[in-house]
Amino acid sequence: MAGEVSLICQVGRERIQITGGSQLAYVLVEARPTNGTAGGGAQARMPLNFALVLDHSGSMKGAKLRAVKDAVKLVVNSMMPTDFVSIVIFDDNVRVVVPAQPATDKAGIAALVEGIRDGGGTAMSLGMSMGLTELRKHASPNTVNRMILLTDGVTYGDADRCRRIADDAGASGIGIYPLGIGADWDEDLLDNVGQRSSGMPAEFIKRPDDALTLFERQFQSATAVSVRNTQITVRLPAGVTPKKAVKVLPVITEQNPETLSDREVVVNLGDLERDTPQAALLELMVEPRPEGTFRIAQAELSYDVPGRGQEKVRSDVIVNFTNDPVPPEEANPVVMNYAEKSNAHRLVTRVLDEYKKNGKVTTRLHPNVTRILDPETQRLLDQVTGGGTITAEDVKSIGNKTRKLTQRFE
Amino acid sequence: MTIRCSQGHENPEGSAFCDECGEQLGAAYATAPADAATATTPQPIAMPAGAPKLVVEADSTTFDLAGKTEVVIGREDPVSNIYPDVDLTAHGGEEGGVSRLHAKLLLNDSQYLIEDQNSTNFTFVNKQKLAPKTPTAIKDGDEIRLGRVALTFHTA
Repeated sequence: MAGEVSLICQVGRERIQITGGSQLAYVLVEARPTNGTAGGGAQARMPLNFALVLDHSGSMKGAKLRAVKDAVKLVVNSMMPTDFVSIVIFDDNVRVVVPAQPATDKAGIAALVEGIRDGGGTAMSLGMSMGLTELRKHASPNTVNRMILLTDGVTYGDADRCRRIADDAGASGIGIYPLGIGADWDEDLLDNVGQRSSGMPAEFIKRPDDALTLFERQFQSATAVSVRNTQITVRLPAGVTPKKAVKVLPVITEQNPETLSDREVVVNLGDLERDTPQAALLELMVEPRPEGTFRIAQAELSYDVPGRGQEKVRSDVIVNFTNDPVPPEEANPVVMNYAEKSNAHRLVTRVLDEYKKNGKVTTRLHPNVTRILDPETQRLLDQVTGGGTITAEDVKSIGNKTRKLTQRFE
Repeated sequence: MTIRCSQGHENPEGSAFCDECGEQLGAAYATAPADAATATTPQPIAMPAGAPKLVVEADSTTFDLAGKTEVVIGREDPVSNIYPDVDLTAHGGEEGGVSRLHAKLLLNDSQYLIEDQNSTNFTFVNKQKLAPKTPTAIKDGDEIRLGRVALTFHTA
């Protein structure tokens, strides 16, 4: 029996005035975990299968490595004996410090973590590949399989290999959760690796002191997983084509244009955590229709319930075409809010990409975009659009904050 | 058919925001006559003596609060269907970082309170930043700042 997750579809406008031309329609598709479990009673959390893949290159020396060791020990200490953990370190080489094992010998694992020393360069794909090997030893449909990937630098010449490993991980139901520490890591690659694996884009550990909180959050979010392999498929009838798809919850993530075909849009949500809804916003081009009620899309949500297999729910997306004027108040404020914020995120990302590539910016942002950003971000964006410079850390910080714009509704 | 933003960027009909610069294409989204939208806009009205009011410091516009127990302060946004009682759009709201739902003024047992609604740029009373969603008592003559827009609260 389904019921672990509800599927909620909302349109920007339920009534569309006929104009004789194609029109853009906004559709918000949300997967919201319900509180009760279908089997009845509070379900124990799913066992975790974690690989902690850690950069210990020379640049990690000092406060960064110290903070990461403490954070890793905290995560291991919080684990239950039913959880599995492995720890892999990489520089230009790779070493398995803790082979995949139940999280029982916490003192022994802590001692091994303490023994990690800094040194060497950065070849991230080696670490990722070994982490994946360790994860596969205990991966099952009933475990939460995650690679926590920490780095402070730019990997050398193996970025494509990292992306391929992320694809492999995704195909095996293993999500990668990248953490970038310091100012020198490559946010494009880490975001991409997270997204390809159905994990999350990179989190930014701005100061070593923040490592503890961010590692702990990774642990907490994994323990909240209720269903796995969640996917939204939106099927489109003739005369409706997708223009854009963007994940808007829990954070804004542009979807690869590959996920848009003429007939359907597929958005992978990966693990779904209790109390954390996920949602995608679609922009659809709808060809002219006569007056009346039409289905412009059908959304399907599929997910795996541990120990029980796949469930599916469907929902129709209906609009009314009318010759009557449609007052602006009919716009759905929730949908329009997500539309505004995802558009702002896309444009800010464009500005940052331009800045990183050319060192100057030609995109001009309308005040509609900048007004929803915090004052610090506004100031920094004014600086780059005015021809000034900002630091690599600022670039990461703006990206990280803008992605979370949808976490507040105002 | 396409619609253009003020910079001339083309967007498909039905778009709420420009793809190129992010400008809100509200007019295109609103298919009703313009006066339908403005009819719901709260207008500052003449102030009877002895009534509570908010005065915008920059332009001395007065918002009468008489007879109201809850007043929403923010910026009108037809696209999001948000029409605050005190709309600061025309009083520096946009440049001044006022959120659409910025703050609420509440009347409770003859005590006026102000509550920040999780605004982006915060609410300040006499230069003190308020915690979001925490009603704070205000009195005659207090300065209330929303983002960078300053107002004075008067009970008489």
